[in-house]
Amino acid sequence: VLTGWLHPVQRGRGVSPGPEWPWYAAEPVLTAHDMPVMAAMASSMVSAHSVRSCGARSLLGGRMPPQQQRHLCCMQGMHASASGSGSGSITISSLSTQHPLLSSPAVVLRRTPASRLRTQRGPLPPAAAVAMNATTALDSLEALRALPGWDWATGIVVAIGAYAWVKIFNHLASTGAMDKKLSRKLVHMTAGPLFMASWVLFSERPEARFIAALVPSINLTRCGSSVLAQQSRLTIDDCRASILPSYMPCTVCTVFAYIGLLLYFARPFSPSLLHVGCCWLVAVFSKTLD
Amino acid sequence: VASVSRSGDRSELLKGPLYYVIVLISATLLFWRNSLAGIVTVSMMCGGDGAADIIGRRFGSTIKLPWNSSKSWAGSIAMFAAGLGMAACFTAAFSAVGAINTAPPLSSMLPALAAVCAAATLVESLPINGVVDDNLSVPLVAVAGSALLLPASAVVARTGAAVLLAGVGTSTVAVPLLQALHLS
Repeated sequence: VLTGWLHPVQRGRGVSPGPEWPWYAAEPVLTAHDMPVMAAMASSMVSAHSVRSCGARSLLGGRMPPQQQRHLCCMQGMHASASGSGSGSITISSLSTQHPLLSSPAVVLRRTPASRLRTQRGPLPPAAAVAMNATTALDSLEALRALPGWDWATGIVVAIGAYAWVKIFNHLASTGAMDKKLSRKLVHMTAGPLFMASWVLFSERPEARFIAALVPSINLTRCGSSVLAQQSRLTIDDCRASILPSYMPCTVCTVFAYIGLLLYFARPFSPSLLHVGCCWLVAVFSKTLD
Repeated sequence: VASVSRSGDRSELLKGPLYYVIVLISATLLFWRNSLAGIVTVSMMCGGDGAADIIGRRFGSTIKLPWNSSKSWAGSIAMFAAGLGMAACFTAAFSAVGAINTAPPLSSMLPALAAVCAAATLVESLPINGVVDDNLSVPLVAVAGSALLLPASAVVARTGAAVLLAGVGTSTVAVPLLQALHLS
């Protein structure tokens, strides 16, 4: 992965940035992710849409005029001759296999869903065949992500993991194996990054982030009940029992809003956004009126 | 809960972990894995703040900051280094996996990233903990800094950043106001 990043060919040298090029990029830069996509394009005429969905936004996002795209291809050492319009389809008529990144399967990165490549019609040039044969852990993750219900399963596993993680530190603090302050700080330090690392496991579906956000949301009720326990000098279990009825309208509306959002992302339909807004408003106001 | 929240002070117990959870949820919903803003925010809030506390307690008893006697140089440097390191590692990992595919390479973004981390560290070191909780001020500055300083393609959800800033900004004003009204 790092070789893909640090490879000198990756830095586009000798091409003066055009006016379309963003101000922050002193020189045009392609990532290694674009390599398999280039190979895919060479395998058949791929419409600009499917190329974009393969993740070649930096290359074909419409920011660059066609001649610069051709420049980039050559600069990359791929010796591809490309033609095409800025927004339409792009054809790569020839592609050499000499590029070091394409000739070593270990460095050919994912980001090109392997399944999509394989379903493309037409004879494959050797370079694309190399890209297809790359079997990495990321490829198998890609396959898992495509499973139906994968996000929910991941969400549940992550939630259980987060709960266990906090419980372990709680246990260490209560037995005296670790200082209470240190254990609290360690949870503070590790919980967020671990959760952030788990984002990678979720799929590319639009509703995935909402399912992931449910994991920290569970903690909100825990925070609420512990505050109530402090205020009323009840035990935390009593408060968990008593907090549910008083929070019921708020919780139910939040859940409804959540379901509405998930539905909206599954099938965009503007009234469902209205539904989300209403549920959310009721949730907020039921809490303040309480 | 005992290991997430401080025992004793009630408001402390309420605010710190609550903001922590809210920031995590917001970063997930608004930025997800394809924007650097979320990564920097969570890194500074978790890694940076945690490191500052642990290192500051252990080594920071001698040289204090001139503008805040309860914070030390050791803690602030640890916060900057840990936050920047964590953000850089996460950026590298996420772009290796392909989650971030529109950003320029990390090496060209490092100065801007360091500036954002430095700004968050500076805000954390100010003696304003009684006014705005660390778990709120640090993410706010991190989001604002990323939206301003990092390249646009690296901070994908600019509207997300705006929404987060507006929401948290109004709530920082509104919540104390409501509390004051309630008390009176």
